[in-house]
Amino acid sequence: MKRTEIIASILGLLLSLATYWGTVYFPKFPTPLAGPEFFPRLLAILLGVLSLVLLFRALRKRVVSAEGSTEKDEAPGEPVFWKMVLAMGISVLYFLGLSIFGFLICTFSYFAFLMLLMQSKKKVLRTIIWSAAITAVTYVTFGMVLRATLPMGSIFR
Amino acid sequence: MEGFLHSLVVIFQPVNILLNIVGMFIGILFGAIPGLTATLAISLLVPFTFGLPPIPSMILLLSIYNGGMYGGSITAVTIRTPGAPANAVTVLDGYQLALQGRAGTAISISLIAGTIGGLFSCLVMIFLSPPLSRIALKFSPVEYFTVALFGLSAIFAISGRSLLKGTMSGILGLIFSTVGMDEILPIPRFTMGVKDIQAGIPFVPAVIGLFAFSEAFRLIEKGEILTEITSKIGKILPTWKEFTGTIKETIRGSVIGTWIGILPGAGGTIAAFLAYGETKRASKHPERFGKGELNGVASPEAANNAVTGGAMIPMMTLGIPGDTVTAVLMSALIIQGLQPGPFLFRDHMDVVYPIFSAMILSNFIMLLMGFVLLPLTSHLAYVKKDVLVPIIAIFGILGSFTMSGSLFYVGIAVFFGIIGYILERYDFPVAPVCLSLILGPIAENSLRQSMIMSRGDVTIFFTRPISLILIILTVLSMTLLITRRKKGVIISEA
Repeated sequence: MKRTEIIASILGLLLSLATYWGTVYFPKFPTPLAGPEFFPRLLAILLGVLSLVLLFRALRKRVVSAEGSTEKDEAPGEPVFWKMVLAMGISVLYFLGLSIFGFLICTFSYFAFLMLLMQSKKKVLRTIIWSAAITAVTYVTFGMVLRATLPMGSIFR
Repeated sequence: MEGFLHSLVVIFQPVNILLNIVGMFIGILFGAIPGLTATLAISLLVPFTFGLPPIPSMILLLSIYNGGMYGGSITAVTIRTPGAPANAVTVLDGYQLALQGRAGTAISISLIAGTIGGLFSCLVMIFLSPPLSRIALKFSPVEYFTVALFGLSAIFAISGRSLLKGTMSGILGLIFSTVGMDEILPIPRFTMGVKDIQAGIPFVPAVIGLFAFSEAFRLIEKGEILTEITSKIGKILPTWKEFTGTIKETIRGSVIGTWIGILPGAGGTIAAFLAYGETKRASKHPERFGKGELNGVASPEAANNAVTGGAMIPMMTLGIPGDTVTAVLMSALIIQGLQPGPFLFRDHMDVVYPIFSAMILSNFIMLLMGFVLLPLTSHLAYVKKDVLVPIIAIFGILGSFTMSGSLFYVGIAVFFGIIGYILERYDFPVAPVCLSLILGPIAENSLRQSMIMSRGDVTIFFTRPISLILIILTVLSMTLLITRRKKGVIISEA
């Protein structure tokens, strides 16, 4: 966990700096403690301090373990990690694709993809049936019964 | 009294009873499936309540809340896997009872105790809320800031294994809460030119992302999991002797749970552990605990259900949610155009009374449905995850989209899903982000208004009695939580 804690603390520091920097151009307010920059700056400073504490703690652990223990860094490198990265990627693609391909095509593909990703033994027929059924049920329920405006996709216009 | 009687007419309307039953079913379902929680169910359902009037929508969500609290005990007993963190302690004696072929008795005692706990906390809520709201009507921004601070101290309780990381998560949530138009000066903050977030980061899609999407990503990473059946349900109804033998500890659990529920952030897990500890300490036979003692199930289950009514008190009267579930429930009320807090009691008693009555009714429905569904729900742990995960994701997307009709909200949900997953993967809890997102604006605006009132004099927080008491309570609460951590009591609240 040490390496990830170092990365997390650096990210925390960067976010803290970015938040502080983002407040520099805010207009001044007669009462400084009531200005638009006060609260975000306070949070940026707190986050920065806590990130430094996390960084020093992680570095100290690293030194201690280097001296005596054989403990290894835990890194996100397990075999299934790629599955989750793929799921995140496809979720972003689904979001981007909705306006182009519409709800039906995107939902069917997204559902099927996630199902296949979950299965250790791929069951294609089961996946197709479930994906079609859930897409149809959600479309009928939300699009027709509840009359929600589901995206139809620009290619069908 | 007249208002209360009228509320009974409202909640007994067929559609409201139906919503109560549907909500209870969903709550028990989510509670009983390990990994899924009432918070997740409520987050997914909130957007769909947008089209409903306020009372039916709250009836649906509150019954999910109640059902979820009970549902988690089922798998805790049958397969030694608590459906939710609040049911973790039930495993100790519940599973031992299951091994003795008494799983049915353990689950029904949990159900009865949970119902009594829930009803007890509802009564406390009904009697305590109106006077508390009358006091809160006199609050100025100074008091509101200290109340928000007290609420934020809950971060210490829901920080999971690392207080440092939990606090960092909380600050991250507070930073997110500053995005949007400033409420005092008309300038956009951290919007990066995106017009859709000028009103701030929408809470519901963010919560859907933090809980639903991140959970889906986590389950995908874990892969398809099936658990083997290891115990039999046995007979369902407890004997009269078994029932009467647990009443005293059920009441003890109910009192502890209600009190813990009122405190910010303490939640069902702490209540259940505390009730179990107190019951064991008070027992003439502490050696029976951990070996299949029915009181070891009754007391914590009464406590974690009693948290529901207790936690509603600060949310309804002060507009300050004490935990993640009440934060999401609060957002559901806000979506309906109702701002929780003292003005809700002054201006919308027509909504407040039915909410109270609905909570009482939902406990009775829980008792009834719990017994009817017991044979079915005990098998819920075996739901195939390869279907469940995509359903969670699709519902998350639909929920985000239908509440606004904007794909931008879907993007927010996916974005927060990724953030939530990354945070949890590296041991940063997501619950503090959620709590901070809703408490952040209250804390910031009341702080700034207080500073304008006092012309920058921070001693204003120490010169007003209620504010000073709240500051002392916040410090005490934080000190207590840190001390408990040092003693090794580390509890994460989903």
